[in-house]
Amino acid sequence: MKNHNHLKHLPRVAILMGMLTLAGCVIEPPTTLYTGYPSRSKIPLKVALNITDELCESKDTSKTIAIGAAVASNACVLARSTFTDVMEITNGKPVPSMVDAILTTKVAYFNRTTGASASGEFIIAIKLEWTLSKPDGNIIWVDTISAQGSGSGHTSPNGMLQNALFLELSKSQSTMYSSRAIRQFTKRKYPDVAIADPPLPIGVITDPKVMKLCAALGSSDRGKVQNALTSLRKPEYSAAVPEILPLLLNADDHVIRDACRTLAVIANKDVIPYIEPLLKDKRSAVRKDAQKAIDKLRAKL
Amino acid sequence: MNHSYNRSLAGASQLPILALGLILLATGCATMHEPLPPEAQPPENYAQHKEIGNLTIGVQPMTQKPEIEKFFNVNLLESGIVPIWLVAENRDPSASFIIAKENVFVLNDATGETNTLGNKQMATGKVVAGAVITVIGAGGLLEFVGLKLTSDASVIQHNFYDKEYYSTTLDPGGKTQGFIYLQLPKSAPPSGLYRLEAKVKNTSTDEVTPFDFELNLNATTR
Repeated sequence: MKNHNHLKHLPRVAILMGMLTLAGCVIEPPTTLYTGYPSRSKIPLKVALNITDELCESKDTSKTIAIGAAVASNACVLARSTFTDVMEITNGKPVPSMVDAILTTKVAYFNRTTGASASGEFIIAIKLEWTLSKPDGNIIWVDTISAQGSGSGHTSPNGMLQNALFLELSKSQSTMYSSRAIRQFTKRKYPDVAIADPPLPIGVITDPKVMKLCAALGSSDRGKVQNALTSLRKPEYSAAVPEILPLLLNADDHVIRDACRTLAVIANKDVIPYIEPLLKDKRSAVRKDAQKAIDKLRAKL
Repeated sequence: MNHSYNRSLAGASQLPILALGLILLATGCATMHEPLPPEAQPPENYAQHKEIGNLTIGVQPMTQKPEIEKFFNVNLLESGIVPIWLVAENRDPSASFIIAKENVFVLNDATGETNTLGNKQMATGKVVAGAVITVIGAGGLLEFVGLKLTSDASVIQHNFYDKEYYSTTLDPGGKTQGFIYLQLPKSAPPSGLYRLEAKVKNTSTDEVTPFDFELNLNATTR
């Protein structure tokens, strides 16, 4: 009878062990900073980057993943790649007299889902709200940028988080740099300073089909990412461009090459600075596809 | 002999269950997928829409159970949450507009107050839509809708916040969409006249323009 009881509990034990395997790991934000921003002329503004305690203490909804410090340190790199002069302040103080604007970010949403099993889909999603305001508090521009990483229970959650955060930062910088509201403010502030034309406006993704494909771009499964990139290779899907750009920094050369091919079809010349660093890649196939993409994009002028 | 036979039988009967458990662990078919959002129509396609200075905003309260379950995988009305779909489009050739989440709120049309939250915002007669979520949020949605932390619940929670409206600046040609969540008492069916107000700022002129919409929830079905 004892043996019988052991067997009776075996399935439960197996399921419990599986759940512990899935839930037991600690997720850490990346310690490396995202530096994949394209090199291009910066917006000529003197900006105070406001790092708040609220940001530094930000965690996911279950209060287990501390993301705030990683966002704060990355915000410095992002701001410096976007504006000509950046200084840091804490909790809005002190506001230096010579700054034109104050840039503040907060974690609007940070959460993760768990799959029903090890092979199910696990998602890490993040939304950052960026606000650029005048020293008197009047808001110049605000936007909330979303990104997510996904994988299975076998995928490194740290890798998923890094994918999500790096995608978030790339999209945030792209959106900030392209903002008409920020550029109009800059022109009013410095009418005599030449400001490079902003990239052409990027549409918001409103098509649910495109949303679904873009969500797959954050997957840790190379096959899923490649399939999504192929499906997005239609000119009418140009709103997906910001979602694809971070893939140019992917470790997998197949993903990079497919990203180049898709950008060549759906993007415009503004993405060339993102692709150009690949011309120096040590992998010849990557260099070749990058060159092809740049040639196609230049031909669109 | 009898005991031995019973043991074998018991072991054999457990094998399918064990196999099923292992299959469930090994396959991802049981994971709930995040539902797609509603396809955003041009704002003027919604019954409730307004155009002021080339900015058009449309809103639509979601009050039918099948529709809500389609987009949220759970009937939010049972928890007193009415999702309101908001779509905005900027057709101005040069101006940008800020629609901050904290400047989109819902008022009870009869009293000028919401009847939902027992906090200081209620005393002011205004409940900011974002604050409604804060009350429910930070993991609290699961408790609010009576779900335990399972895989499905985590997807439902993520979907709820993922589809929410967040602060945006609409550049020329820009569009945005998302849900505002109105929290009503759980005890009674959602009903009454409400007013959704969005205060929109033109970044060129700093002028703030209110967009007002009447919301009639009397036709709500739970």
